[in-house]
Amino acid sequence: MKVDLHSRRMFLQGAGKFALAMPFLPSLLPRELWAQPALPTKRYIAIVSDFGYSIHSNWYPTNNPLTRTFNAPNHKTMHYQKLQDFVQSGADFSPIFKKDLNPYIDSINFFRGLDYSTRVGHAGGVALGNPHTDPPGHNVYIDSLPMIRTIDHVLNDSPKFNPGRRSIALLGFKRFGKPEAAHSFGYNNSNQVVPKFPIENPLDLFSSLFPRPLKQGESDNHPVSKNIEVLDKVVEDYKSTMNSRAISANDRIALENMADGFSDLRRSLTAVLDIGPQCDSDSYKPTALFPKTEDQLQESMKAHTKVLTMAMVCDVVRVGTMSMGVNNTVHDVIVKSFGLSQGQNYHDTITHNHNGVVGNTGVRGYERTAQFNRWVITGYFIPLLKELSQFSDPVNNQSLLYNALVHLTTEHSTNHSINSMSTVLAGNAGGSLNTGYLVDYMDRNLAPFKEMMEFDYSDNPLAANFMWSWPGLFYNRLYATIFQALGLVPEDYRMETVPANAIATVNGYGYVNANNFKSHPTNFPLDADYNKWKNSLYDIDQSGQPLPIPNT
Amino acid sequence: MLPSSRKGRLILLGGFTVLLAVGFQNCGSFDSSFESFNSNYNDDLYRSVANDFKCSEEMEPRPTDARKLIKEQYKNTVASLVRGLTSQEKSAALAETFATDLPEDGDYTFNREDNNVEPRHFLAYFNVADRFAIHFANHPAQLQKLVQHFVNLDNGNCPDFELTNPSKACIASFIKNFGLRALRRPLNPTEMSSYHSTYDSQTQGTDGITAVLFQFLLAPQFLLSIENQGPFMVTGTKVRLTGYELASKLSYQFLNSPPDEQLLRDAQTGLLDSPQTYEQVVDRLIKDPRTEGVFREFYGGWLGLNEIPNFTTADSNEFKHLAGDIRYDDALRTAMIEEIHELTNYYTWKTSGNLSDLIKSNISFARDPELMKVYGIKKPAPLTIQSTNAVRLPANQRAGVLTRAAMLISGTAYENPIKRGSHILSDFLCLPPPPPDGLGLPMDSLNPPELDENLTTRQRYEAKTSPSACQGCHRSINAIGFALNNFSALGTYRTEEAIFKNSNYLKDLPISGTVDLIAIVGQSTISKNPVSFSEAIASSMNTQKCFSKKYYAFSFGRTADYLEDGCALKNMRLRLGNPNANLQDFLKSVTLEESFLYRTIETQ
Repeated sequence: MKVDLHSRRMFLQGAGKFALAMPFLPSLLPRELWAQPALPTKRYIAIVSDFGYSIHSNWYPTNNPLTRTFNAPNHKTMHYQKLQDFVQSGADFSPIFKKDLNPYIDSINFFRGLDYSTRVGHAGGVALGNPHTDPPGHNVYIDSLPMIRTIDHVLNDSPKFNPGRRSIALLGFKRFGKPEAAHSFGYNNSNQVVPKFPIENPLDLFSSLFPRPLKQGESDNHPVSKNIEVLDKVVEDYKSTMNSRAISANDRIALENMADGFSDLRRSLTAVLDIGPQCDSDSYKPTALFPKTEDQLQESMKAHTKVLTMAMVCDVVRVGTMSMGVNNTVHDVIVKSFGLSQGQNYHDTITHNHNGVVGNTGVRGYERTAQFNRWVITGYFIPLLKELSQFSDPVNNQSLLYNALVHLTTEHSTNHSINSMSTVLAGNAGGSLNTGYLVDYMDRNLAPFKEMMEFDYSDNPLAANFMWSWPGLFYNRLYATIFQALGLVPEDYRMETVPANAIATVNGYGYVNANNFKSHPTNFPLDADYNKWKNSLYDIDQSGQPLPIPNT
Repeated sequence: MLPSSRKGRLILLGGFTVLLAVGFQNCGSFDSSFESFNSNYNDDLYRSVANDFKCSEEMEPRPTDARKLIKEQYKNTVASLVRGLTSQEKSAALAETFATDLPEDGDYTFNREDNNVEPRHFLAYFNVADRFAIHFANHPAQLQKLVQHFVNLDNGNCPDFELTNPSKACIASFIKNFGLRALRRPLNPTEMSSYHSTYDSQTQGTDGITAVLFQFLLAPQFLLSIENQGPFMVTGTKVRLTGYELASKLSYQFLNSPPDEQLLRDAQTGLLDSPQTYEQVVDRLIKDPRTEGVFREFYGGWLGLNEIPNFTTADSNEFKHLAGDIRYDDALRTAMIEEIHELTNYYTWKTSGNLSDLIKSNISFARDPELMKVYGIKKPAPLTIQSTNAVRLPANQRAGVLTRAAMLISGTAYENPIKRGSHILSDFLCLPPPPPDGLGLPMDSLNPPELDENLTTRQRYEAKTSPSACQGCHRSINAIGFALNNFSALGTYRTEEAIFKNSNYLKDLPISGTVDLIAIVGQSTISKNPVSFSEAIASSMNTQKCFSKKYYAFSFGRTADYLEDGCALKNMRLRLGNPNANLQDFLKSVTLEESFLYRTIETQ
């Protein structure tokens, strides 16, 4: 495991001294927001499914080229369509989303043509920005990259986005037996970047977020203990040890983190928070759930969602990551719901096996991935949108959904590939993003990716739905989009010393360094013209910029 | 400025990407010929089956970072401070102290690899310290006894401790003695002053003492293992840990607990400072009965005993046929797991066993009647097993841990040779095969092979993995998986496999467990049965390397670095391969390594 030895403080404070031009687009933010004295609280929730969408038509409403075009400086012409176009007829949006998006259709953006910039191991945290997240030996080029934090932790560690350093909420189901395939990566106490695991039981999640449940209009005071005063001495002890002799650099970081942690605890135990009349966490307290059936799994996921929502409403957390992997519990539900045999690794058996028949029921892998992702939509995504829509922020009288970004993504895209990654952003980030579009960055004038034929689908009557993919824009520009929409500037998230490669370069999240770009023989069809291709596609000179989004 | 060892590491990493690109393609790294190409790269060097670890004199041991106490260590440390009370009082005090949510350790192979401290940990630490202090504030008689116990350790400095109005000498004695046990080393003058000032900040004696208790339970040296005592930093040298630091490190290594009074005395009197007496102390700790429980955790993590499948959905006709009169339920699964624990316990603690014994033993530890049926034996294992009274598993059927039921069951009616092979490659040989990736593979490649009334499981999997695109990995995986072909998915021994059609029994087909282990032992090695397979695994240097690597991770809470930790790994591996050394010698060996005994001085 590689180590990013930067102190969190160093990371946050040290970036400003570098004079490189930062590609920050003020135009992304409506001008009126700059003048507002009080901005609404923004929140970020990532939902990551361990299964991809396998076939295009299961995720998207159409395989066809989109009808409208738009342009942005230094980009090729791009295509888009309003999401309303796809639901007005009353038809399902797609087999995975059905009609569930309809109430929120104007608050969502779908993206097509966002590609990982090299053959990365798509399991794990790469969807949220950590390219070194794959089990060793996954035939990838990214193993030489150091571990870096996923964007949920970058946001949560940012004093600008998360003043007071609230805890991050990690919930969901981890992948059985593969801790390295986590979706979320953050610092441990020595500032090494390590996998962070979701809390699976909703009651445990509740207890961790609300050590003492909050009532309406009540402040977040810990029951008064005179020992709280002694915490100041404890913090002094850590600082004194940190500055004592013979402390190594790593240990100094660990002690600094501990001192910060106890300082934060001291503040949180004594602060009188204006949590507002909407906060009533007690009413959201779930029971312990150990799901055995599909219905119980859905119930458990919805309980996760409710707890997270109330933690957001009470401002206990501002960042949440919901993971959907196949642990023992989910495995047993899959066995029962899909009529399969016990004991299989149903990540590999289903999602690495798109066109194969899974189990003895005649259903193929890509349909099972859709079924699995349908659980994510009905258990996490839609309930979260619904919950966040029901609460408003008095600062701008908009819903929490409007002020938030909900980022839905999956392990891989069509045919287990890393092109045209499933990317959905819900919410307007407090007005920073226009919504309601299916945006297509793919350039169909170019040769399509050959990996669409990962398997021979010729025997499949639905082969036409396994749509080809064409080069579009780099997925990691999504990170810049999210960060900037949520109020960060490049200085807040760029890096200086991380070795360059395709996803995270010397400049960090959102950037691609063309000189270190890696091709892969089974991934890109254009290797023969690699040098020509790398400079002509992907608008690579726009590396680090937020994604263009239509505004009409 | 970087130490020379760090520079060397960076230079070596320069060729990393290219090497990986070749190394991981088609599992080529299992091939011994791969070694010559990659002789500069540590990971691939390690993966080569022909080479031992390399010890470079230029590489300094990597420093041990401050680590939090894992949950059990933390609870034991708090509990160790509740003294002078009746056992009933102590139980009540601890129940009250721990009546709060303590975060579980993370999902690592070994709990000790978890060094995450998150906001919920801070809250838990606070709550425990607060409850501890409040308990004694609410029970002054118990507080009196607690303090009296600690001040008495000074042999008369404070004969009459008065809780409501203690003398300064008594408070000093309490802070000094309690602090030594809480921080696992004597307090320095600054710390003494800090705790005195906390005491003085309170108006009443009781409040002052409970505030001091609270502060101790949140102190850096209480919650973390930090090695920073001894001389100031000097460029380019190493410093041997102090006796107290070693006492603490040894105690948590073997007992998951803070040093006891004997160990603190050993530190104080310098027994840990000389190699001869240090080893005597290590021997004493290894013989402590509590050590067995700690190493149950090590063996459980190594063998993945928390991940053994259950039988909850194994209710098919095929499984019922397979089980016959064996009742398969949670009790059987538990018995299978406990048998593995007893096997490892026996060869580690009850007899002078070594790794080879673990992998080759045919002694039965089964007492559960259903497990005895799985093994086809009539006699339960005696409660106290000796070589003279041991029940042996049927001859030529089973040898060692790999052939025990817990390692073989799949939770379904059909064994999965791929999973069996991958497990052994990953956990016994540390050669984890890459996850399957559909790129470039034929359609349906990743599905289990279809049932076929004319083919055994092995034949079905052989056909399925026969394409050349699969063979890069599967020649290794299959060889190991098929070597255990004589065992059903319930772990029963067989020479024929039951074949089903539409879930109804059709016939038996003969099976073969003969394989060539060339891909994992480096030369053509024919294994004809599970016993010869276990012997091949036991004699493989990679098995010893892997076991050493696992134990290193358990001991240091991190994955070993093949360059920086190369010397320690090599020494441990040599100890493991020494036919005259037993497992206890091996478990002790890590404590004799420089990386355990010394801390590296950083460049200032």
